[in-house]
Amino acid sequence: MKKTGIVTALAFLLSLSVNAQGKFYTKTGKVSFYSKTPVENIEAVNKSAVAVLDTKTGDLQFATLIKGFEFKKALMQEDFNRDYVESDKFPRAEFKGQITNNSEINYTTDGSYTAKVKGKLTIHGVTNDVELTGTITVKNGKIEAKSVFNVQYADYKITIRQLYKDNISSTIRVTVDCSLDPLK
Amino acid sequence: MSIESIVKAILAILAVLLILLFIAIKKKKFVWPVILLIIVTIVFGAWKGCTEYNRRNKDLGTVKADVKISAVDLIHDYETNDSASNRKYLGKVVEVTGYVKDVKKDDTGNYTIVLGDSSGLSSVRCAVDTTHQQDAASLAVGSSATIRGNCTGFNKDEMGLGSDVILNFSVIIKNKK
Repeated sequence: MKKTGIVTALAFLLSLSVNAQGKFYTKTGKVSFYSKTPVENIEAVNKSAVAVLDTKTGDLQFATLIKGFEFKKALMQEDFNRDYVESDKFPRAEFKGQITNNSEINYTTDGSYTAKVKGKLTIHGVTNDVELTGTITVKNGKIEAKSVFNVQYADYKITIRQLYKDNISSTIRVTVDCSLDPLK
Repeated sequence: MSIESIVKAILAILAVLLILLFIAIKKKKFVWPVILLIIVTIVFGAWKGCTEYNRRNKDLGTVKADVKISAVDLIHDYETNDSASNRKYLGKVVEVTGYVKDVKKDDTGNYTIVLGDSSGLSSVRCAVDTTHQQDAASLAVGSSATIRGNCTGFNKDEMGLGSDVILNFSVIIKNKK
């Protein structure tokens, strides 16, 4: 009885380690966005994004909580949450996709690689197919994943009010910066 | 109040004042008191508008908590009913008490305090307010702490990493060794 217990536990642990192999993750990923306007710049950062990268398959998952975006000015933060992204209704933004050139990235050798990513990006309850490029940097067994891309408000049904329409550009620049640790 | 409503209010007040001024000039009576009133109102309005526009996020160390709860209960609430819990906690100032599982420092020096049951995967992750980073540095893993923060929501376990309730602008209220 005891023996079988130990064997099952060992088998379980072994299966866990096999499953986990090749996966990297973070819970403190940084996402920021930036848009220049004549009056003042729109800028916010979120430091609690979750990301998982499966280096074997190139599967990439990413999630961030909208209310976690910190602005310098409280009024801008409240406007953003209430009037633009409606974070009470749509509290999360996420990305699910794949690195399409995963075979070109050598995760066991230190170096910097260009990653082409394809997948579905959900913001404000609207999902769109997107293709992005980023950089994967492998260093000392850790992975640094970075990407900068533009998001068009209209694609995600985010409406800019008439009052500001002439002053705010129709896209916003999003920067993702994650330092991924191996999942044990 | 949004910027738009402030602008609308100021425009409305200005319109009323201009009408008053117009009447006063027409009747050639009370011109000076009315002009004085207009100046005072404009200055006051501009000052109010400026402070509102430049308002920073509050230091939660000085704000009363909307909800006080243990880390275990908060996680349990979210795990059993995500959307009901969002209605209860999302965007609220929540004071969470629990076992300190981990204190993490990222490469830019920002701390995250991880509260919850030591055996479970799920936790309450508190991103510490930039002005309170030093308090987090001295927080010991294994102690019990009360943290006040702004609840930004729940990351359900979809990636095999455990579920997390996230607080930001967090401040350490109490720490028992």
